[in-house]
Amino acid sequence: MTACAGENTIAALLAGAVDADAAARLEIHLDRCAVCRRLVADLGRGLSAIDDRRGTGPALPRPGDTLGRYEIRRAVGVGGMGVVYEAHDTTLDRRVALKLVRPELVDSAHLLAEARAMARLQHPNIATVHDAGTADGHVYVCMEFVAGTTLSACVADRSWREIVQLYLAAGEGLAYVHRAGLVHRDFKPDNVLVDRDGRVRVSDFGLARIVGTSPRAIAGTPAYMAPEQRRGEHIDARADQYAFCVSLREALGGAAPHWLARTLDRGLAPHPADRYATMEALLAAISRGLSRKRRGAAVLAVMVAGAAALVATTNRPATASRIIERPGATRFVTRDVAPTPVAASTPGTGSITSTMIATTPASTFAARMFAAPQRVVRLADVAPLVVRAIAKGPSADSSNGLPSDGSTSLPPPAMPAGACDDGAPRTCAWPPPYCPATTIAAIVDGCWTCADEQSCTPLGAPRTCNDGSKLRCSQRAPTCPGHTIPAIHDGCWACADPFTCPSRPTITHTKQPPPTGSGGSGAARCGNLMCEVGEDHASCPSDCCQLGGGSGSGNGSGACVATCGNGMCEAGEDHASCANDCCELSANGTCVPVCGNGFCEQGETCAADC
Amino acid sequence: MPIASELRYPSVMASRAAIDAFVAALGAHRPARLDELATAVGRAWERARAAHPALAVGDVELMTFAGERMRTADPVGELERRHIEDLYVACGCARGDRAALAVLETDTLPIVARGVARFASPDDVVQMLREQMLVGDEPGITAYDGRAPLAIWLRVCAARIGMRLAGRDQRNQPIEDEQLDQLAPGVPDPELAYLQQHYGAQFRAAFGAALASLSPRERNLLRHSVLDALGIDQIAAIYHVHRATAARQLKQARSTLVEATRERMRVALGVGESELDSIFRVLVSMADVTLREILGSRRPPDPKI
Repeated sequence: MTACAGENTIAALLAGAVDADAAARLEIHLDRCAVCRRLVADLGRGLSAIDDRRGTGPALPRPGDTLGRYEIRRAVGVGGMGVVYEAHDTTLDRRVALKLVRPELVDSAHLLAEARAMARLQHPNIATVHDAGTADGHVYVCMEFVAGTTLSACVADRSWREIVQLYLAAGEGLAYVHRAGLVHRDFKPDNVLVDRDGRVRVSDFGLARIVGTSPRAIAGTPAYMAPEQRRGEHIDARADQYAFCVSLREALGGAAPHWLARTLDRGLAPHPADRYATMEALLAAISRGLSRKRRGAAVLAVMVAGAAALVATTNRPATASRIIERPGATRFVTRDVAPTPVAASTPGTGSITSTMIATTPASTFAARMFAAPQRVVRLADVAPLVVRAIAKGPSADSSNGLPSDGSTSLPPPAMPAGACDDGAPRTCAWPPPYCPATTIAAIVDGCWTCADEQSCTPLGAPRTCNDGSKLRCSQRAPTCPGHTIPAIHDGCWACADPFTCPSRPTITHTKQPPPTGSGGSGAARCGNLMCEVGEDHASCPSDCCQLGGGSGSGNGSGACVATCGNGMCEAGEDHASCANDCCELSANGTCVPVCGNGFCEQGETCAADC
Repeated sequence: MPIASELRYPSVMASRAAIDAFVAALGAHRPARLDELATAVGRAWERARAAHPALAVGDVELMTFAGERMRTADPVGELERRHIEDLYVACGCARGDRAALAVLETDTLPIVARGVARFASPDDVVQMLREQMLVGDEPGITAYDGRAPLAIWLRVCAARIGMRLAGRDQRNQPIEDEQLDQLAPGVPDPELAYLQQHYGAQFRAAFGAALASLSPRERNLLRHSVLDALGIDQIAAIYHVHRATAARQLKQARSTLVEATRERMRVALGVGESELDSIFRVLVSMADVTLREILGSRRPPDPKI
């Protein structure tokens, strides 16, 4: 650390655990160092979001605790108003979302009255409120549990048209509530849930209002607030309309067609009177534009296809989309955008594509990734989504893969012949797959796969790497220069060029046949970190949650047994034995996989997770 | 004579090796009374295990990790006070323990992510945090000392990253010089303009000197209020005092500042009380602007930390 105040001291100050001496020293430092003072101020602004388990008020429950008739499973989110848990309603035996509202923020009588009003609302596009009450000093609202994700997380890879469709559904929910005479007051993409079937539900109705009656509270989220709401004036449904339009415009970035941008502009008018009269009117305007444009788009698509898969990049702002967001992972993937112009070609079609230029400064990772200026890459590497979406049509001819604008592309790396399991060609097609916690994307014989970060599990028995390191990947990923990323290549760490696959290290090893798994609709895959019941421990040592036949590890039957509480959702697992882990119950009492939980289940076809 | 049931033993006993490891890690701060220490180690281990039973990290590892961070005059007390559960997770993460990483991922990082949501690219911030905390020969999480909950500590680190990403963090940069230009007061009032012209320099000098005479805490309070635009509640939250206390302290700092300025101007101008009053009344009406400028431009005295 430099002379700046240590994070520990600042954290202790915020936690109220700093002693007088340290506090005085910190004051002197803050007096001189504007950066640290602004840091403290910045943290002070968000203090309400910090879960201070030793703070005033009742301690927040931990997984396993019970609160009234609810058994807490896990925290699924933290907001300005409190913490949201996944919980089990022991009376009705169902999974619920339990929102604990910070007691100092609410008048609990008021909250309960509001919850009753909310509980009367039923609509496919709103999350149902089941119950509200107080228990152990907590004020809670019990809501329908929606397994899935939030709208903000959901729009990342979607076309503008899909995004608009999702928002239209959310808008229906809002309109319904408006008809019932209520105002949401805190509409934002984080408050909209999308389940695995794509059904959209608006949640947290009215909470902002109840909370807003307390002077301590920040009612609503400033970024989405209508001007009149920000000024603290009386608001009506048109403030929700404003928030809706902010959210949608944000989701679309620059990708909104002109007509849609104009529609949203009206919803974003500073004066409520200048907006659409109702949500319905706004939704109708959007729907009209959508159906009109769809016909035009179809014609355009044909033209584009006819012109041999010309690809134009989207105008959406740069978003560094995470492929790997897990501990130990150091790789970043940037989709559909680059800070410097990138000429791209599709070897599959042999056609030339347009130049990709970022519309806004990309993240630092994007900058790193595309550090080489004017780098020529295969389009399949940088914009697979675009390729899939648009170049579906005539996969066309062939040939050399050289761009016809005179620039030269990198020669494709030498790869083993044949295709990967999933049918992808052996090209390290970018991006790497999403890999669950503590696994890492690895390149094995030219195909991406998920590998256990520390044991290189998919490669079977340990071997010796050419750098002399023994048997397994060294403990941690190496620091890789430039735009390269750490990857496991044939059982050894390598720095991979995400575009061309790493140059292959010479490795002395005897390759083991891949382990065969048991059970499930597919073969067991080592390295996916799923605990497969009955799986042979020797074949997948890193995945086994617990060995059968004895305490500890190493003895017993040598088969893996199910371990409750590992948070893994095992398809087909008996619900009774592992109630905590089960993602969703089927009619016959076994667990069925749920898309959107971030885990790739054996045999599951779940585009979002696998 | 005590009977066995009256003796309180920790239900999870720390091993002899764990106690030794803790003492060894303390180095020169080895406490005199080892019996208390043994109990404290046992209790700490019990707390840690109860909170995170899934971690495959033993008591020796935890106590070594903890001891290295408690080289203080009162390590036994520290062991009781510190967030040992969170130190356990940190220790596990530093060792690559899968369960610890899972706890960090599912329990802690969502809280941190929420805290950095207002930055332009919160995902980047959290991802950089992961990288900083978990990757490398000496992962950043080893810097955690357990005085605050891990979530709060990570939020501080994340906020630093966020500010750096936003290009604001030049450590130890001079205090907000940039504020000067944008806050130059354009005052339409002719009387005020006159007074400013004639007394502005003295006022500023007196004001600056008065500010320098405040305590660092008072100056920081004023900065939080004026420059950072924090409300009373937020200031109270930072300092863990009641909002009434924060308000009183802030008011006190303001009035001390005004009085000290007044006194210095009286000396500098050599004018009578009533004349000073009228000058001061007008000048002080723009005190917020001046405060902003001076707080923002002056490097306060006492350069030693």
